[in-house]
Amino acid sequence: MTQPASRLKRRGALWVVPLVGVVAVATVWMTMHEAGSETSSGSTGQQQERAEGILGYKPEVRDIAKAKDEVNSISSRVLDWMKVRGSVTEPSAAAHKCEAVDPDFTKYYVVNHPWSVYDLKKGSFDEAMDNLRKTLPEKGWKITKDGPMRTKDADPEIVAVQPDSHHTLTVQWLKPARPGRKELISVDVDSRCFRAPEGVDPYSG
Amino acid sequence: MAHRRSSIYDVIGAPGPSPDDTGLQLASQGGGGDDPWGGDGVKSDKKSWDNASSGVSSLKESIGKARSKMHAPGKGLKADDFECGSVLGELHTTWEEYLDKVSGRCTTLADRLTKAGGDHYKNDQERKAAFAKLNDKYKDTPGRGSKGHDGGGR
Amino acid sequence: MKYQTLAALEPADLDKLVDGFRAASDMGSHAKDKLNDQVAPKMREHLDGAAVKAATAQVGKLSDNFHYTQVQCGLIRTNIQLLKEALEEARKKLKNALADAETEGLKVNPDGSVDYPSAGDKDDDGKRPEGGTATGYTPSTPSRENFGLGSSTRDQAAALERQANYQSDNPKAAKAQAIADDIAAAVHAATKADQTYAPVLRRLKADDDLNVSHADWADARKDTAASRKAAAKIGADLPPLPKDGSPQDNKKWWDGLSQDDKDSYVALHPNAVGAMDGLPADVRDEANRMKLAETKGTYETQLAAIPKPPDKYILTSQGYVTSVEWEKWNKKYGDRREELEDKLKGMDAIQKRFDKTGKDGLPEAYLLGFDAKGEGDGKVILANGNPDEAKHTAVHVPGTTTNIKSIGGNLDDMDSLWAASQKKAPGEPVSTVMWFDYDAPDSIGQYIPNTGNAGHWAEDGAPALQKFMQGTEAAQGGADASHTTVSGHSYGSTVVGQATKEHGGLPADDIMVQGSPGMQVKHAEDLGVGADHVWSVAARSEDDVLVREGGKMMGLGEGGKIPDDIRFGAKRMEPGDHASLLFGHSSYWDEPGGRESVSLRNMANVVVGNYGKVETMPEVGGTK
Repeated sequence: MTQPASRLKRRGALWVVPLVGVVAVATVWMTMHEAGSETSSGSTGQQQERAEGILGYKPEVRDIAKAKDEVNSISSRVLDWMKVRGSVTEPSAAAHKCEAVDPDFTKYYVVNHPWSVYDLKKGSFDEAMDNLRKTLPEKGWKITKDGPMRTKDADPEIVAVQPDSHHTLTVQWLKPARPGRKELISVDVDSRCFRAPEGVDPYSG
Repeated sequence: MAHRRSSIYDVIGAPGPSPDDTGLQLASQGGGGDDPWGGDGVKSDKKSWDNASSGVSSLKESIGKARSKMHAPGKGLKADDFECGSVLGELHTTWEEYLDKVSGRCTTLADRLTKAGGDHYKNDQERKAAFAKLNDKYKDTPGRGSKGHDGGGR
Repeated sequence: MKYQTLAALEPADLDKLVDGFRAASDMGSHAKDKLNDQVAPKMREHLDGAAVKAATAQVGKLSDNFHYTQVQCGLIRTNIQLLKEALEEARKKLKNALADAETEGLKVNPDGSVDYPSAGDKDDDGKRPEGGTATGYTPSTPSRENFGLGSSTRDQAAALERQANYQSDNPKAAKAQAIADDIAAAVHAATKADQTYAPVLRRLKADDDLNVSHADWADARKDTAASRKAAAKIGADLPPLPKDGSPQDNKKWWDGLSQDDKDSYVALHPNAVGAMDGLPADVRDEANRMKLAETKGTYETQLAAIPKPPDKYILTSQGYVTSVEWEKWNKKYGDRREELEDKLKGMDAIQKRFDKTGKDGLPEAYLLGFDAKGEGDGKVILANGNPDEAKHTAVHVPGTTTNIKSIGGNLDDMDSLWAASQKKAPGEPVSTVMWFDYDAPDSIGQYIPNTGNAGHWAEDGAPALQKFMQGTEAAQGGADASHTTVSGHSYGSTVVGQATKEHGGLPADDIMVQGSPGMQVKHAEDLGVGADHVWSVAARSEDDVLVREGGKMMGLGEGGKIPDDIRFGAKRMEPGDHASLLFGHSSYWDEPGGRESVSLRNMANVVVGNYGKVETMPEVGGTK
């Protein structure tokens, strides 16, 4: 991130000129960027083309409830694979904006399910993580990261991807941040962007 | 948005049912089967509408209590050469009326909230219209110009 | 007013009225709070659908009725209270005078004059000084009893007579004159109070419809001003506002007031009370919400008064051209309309936040500061959750281009920070505060290039930030009451850095900055919290680089060092990779796909003191 320090010594107005130029361009770009998305314009085909350009894949058309159910059931299976007993947080999977393509939340969405398991009654956090390491590949998931987070606590983190459904799983074993705080395993299940079926507006409801 | 997320506090700490030892413990009863996060389900919406309704109608009691403390100015304050005396009388009258109307508004709104939780309306659109219609009931009247912009006696 | 009327007035009767309106005002306040902080939030939390929005909108309107009741009845209570005090004082004087008359055996006439008998030493002819009537002195301001005669003539005659009585050989004459004067003074004071307050009270009659319109709120503001004037006119005896006191002084002053005086202050001086650092958050919130409603009403009224513009374009033989009528209209109204609309946009954003309470657990909002104009771009200070009771407090200073019209985005950022922080410290109340009370540079281009002092906005804004932080600390009960993080984004971080240099420093436990162009200091340890409590995050996007490097060039970092430089010595947090190549300068609070970004998570961990959970950038060749 560092620029060669010599170039940026405070010299005089000259150095400022190109910088001002770039800033001007950046300001114009930023204004255009803020002017709103063009998601609602164009045919379905055009929107899908545009989405593919941004995301690198064409979002599947998927019924929202089905997409949420799918994520919920992934979460259930992951919980089973941990083979521990304890308390689990309540909220279920939810649909959110696919920000990069459709910040106005008119046609495209992602499904995300964050949850944690804590207050273990049977089994340990260590076992839970090991069970996942073993079971995920067996069930067809590809582990893309398995190691400590770059924090002082260096908590273990496992990231895995499902190559067919393209869901991402992020598991972090968070030791107590401070005395008195709970130890927990935090799980995030994320889907890719989907497109809502015709006539359905992901924002309403 | 098509989701319901209860309080973020619930990583730990949401008072839940006593832990059972069959494993998974959730603060609420989810939808179906072996899936602890079965669909959103319509989870007792009626209860929420009813709670809102009773919240609103409880305010009638508060209004009543306040009104019991509001008295018209007594005889001792009535004199032709004490201008505030008659003004205080007018104040009392207008505010009694106002609070009376507000109390009525509570009744109407509470009633509509209860209906929203029951079977009274066919669908969400009808429910929505029922509340939107209340705007017509309470339109602004240019009428009184109650602020007394006449500046009063001086 | 006749003295008999004044004598017959029972202050206790007025007390009863005061109590009644106090009850109404308190009830209005509690009812409004119940609807805003419980009923509507619970509905938003548990219910879905379009009907819920319409329903909570109606709850909001009902809440307005209670807010209006609270404000107006509070004002009425204060006015009657002050009227009562003035009348009480006058009545006491009158009663004493009447008692004197009785003691001295002097007759008080219905018109307030006092008869005195013949008394005193006999003269050479064996006659005692004659008796007579003493008439009280009334100042020349016209009163009901004086009409018909030119006041100056009457005054002259009266003055001569009074003099004579005071110098008379008849000892009773002087006494009678004194008593008559007292009676007249008492009556005058009472009449003045009566005539001052009658029109003010008349303004405060309740509205005859239940729609609390913008005109109603605009009127409420005028009512407050009229009440203030009345209080000043009769010399009402409220303890004076502290002048230029420290936040600690302000707190002490407020704590020493009676509840009645506190209520009167909020009713009469909502602006001053709302802006006073050191006062409790709920008091400031109450006062500022009044100010917000009244300001909104006033601006909406003014906007409604601007005539609709004529058609901008007309078709001529040369094609479409801008019409002359429109040009005329635009010259007269264009700027003003834009200004009003911009300010109202900001006020709507604040209301939107109020209406969000309860959604996903978002706590009550406390409006700790509000002014449509502020230091130029508006003033908005809003807290999520009550900072006076927080275990972890984060105060955030937004940066370049911040303006009341776009303040919604800044408020959303603090909502996100609150949610991410609170869930990492369950059971330990968190409060995140958006503090915007300085003149922010209007564009990055404003300080690049810069031929003057690019730090001047920070220098101008730093004292206010310091005072706010001191006030927060005082209201919380001291330095140990809460773990406090001061946060600054972009130029906001420059303000933060400058504030640490103010005499007395900045009361903070941690300082964290996003996309900082420089903090006016050479090294993290110069900020006063210890280098290991200084956190910096810098997005890898082009626009963020521009801000940082631009600031460095303009000397916003002392000795050319800015927080993202390793040698600055701050802890550099991982920004994550959710931001695009070009745009990331405002992405720190993003929640892509509904979950907290890496940058947001890291910032939240700092806010709750989970230092061990903050992901840091690898140091390149450093000893740290």
